[in-house]
Amino acid sequence: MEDTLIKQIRGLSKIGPDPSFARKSRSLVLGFEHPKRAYMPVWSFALSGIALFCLVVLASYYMVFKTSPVYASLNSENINQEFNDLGINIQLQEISYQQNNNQAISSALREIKDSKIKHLNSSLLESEDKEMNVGDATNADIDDLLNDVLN
Amino acid sequence: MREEEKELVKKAQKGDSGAFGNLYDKYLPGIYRFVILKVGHRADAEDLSHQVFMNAWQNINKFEFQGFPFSSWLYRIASNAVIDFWRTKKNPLSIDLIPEDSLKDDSKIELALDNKMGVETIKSALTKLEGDQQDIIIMKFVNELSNKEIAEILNKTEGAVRVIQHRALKQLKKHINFS
Repeated sequence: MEDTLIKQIRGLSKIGPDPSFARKSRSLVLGFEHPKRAYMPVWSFALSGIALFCLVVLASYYMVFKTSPVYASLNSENINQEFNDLGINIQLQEISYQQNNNQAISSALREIKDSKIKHLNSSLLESEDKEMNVGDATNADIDDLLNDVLN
Repeated sequence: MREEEKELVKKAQKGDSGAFGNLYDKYLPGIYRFVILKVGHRADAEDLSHQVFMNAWQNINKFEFQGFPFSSWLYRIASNAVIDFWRTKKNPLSIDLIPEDSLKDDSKIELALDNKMGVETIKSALTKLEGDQQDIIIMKFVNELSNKEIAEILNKTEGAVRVIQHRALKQLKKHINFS
C-alpha cells in the first residue's frame, strides 16, 4: 500500500512549468540589474594612505614655511601702533574731561550771579540768620518742657 | 557536480547573468512543482516562482556555501514566498478545487494513473496535510531531495524530518481510505 502510494506521489514529479512562461520569466529575471558586491580592494586602501600622507606633508610645509615666525604680541610694529593709539586715546579723554569741567564752572558762576535763585539770595540768607538764635546756648522753650517732664 | 554548481554561484555573485541563467534552468522545474502543489493555481505558481528567482538573483551575494546545495536556499525562499502568499490571500483556493483538466492542459501533467487511486485523490489528500508534512512529502517524493537537504531547508533535524514523513504518509493513507 505504502509503495503504491509513494509511486503515485512520485507521479506528480511530471508537473512542470510552461516553457513559454519559463522563457519569459528567465529573460525578465536576468534582465534585472544585479546588485554587485561592493569590493574594497587592498590597493584602494594603499592609495587612500598615500593621499592622506601627501595632505599631511603639504599642510606641514605651509605651516612651517609660509607663515610669519614672529608672535603677534612681540611684533615691534604692532607694539608701536598700539602705543600710538594709546596716546591718542588719553588726549581725547583729557579734552572730554576739560570740556565737562568748563561747563560745570560756568554754570556755577552763572548761579552765583543770579540773585533770583532762592538758596543764593543774599537778603533771604541774612533774614534767616537773624531769626536763628545761634549765639544763645540755651533755649527757654526747651527748658520749660524739660521742667514739665521732670515734675 | 557540487563543485560545478559552486563555480556557477561564484560567477553569478560577480554579476554573471549567464551563470545564474544555468542555475535558473536547473532549478525552475523543482521550485515550480513545489509551489504549484502548495498553492494549487497555475498563475499564482508562476508569479511565485518568478518572484523566488528574482529574489535569489537580487540577493545572491548573501548566499554562502555551508555544505548544502544552492537549491536548499531556493526552496527556503520559495517556502517563505508560499507562506506570505497564504497570509495575504483572502480566499485560499484548495488544490482539490482545481479541475483536473485545467491542470492537465496548463501544466502538461501526464500522470500514470493507478487503478485504485487517481491524481485527484492524491492531490486532495495532500492538501489535507499540515504545512510541514506537505513540504516534506513534496520535497522528498516529488522533488527527490535528501532528508539532509529537507532538514536544512525546514530548519529541522534529520530525525524530525523522518518522523514527520512517517506521520505524513500515515495521514495520506488515512485520507485516501476515507475518500
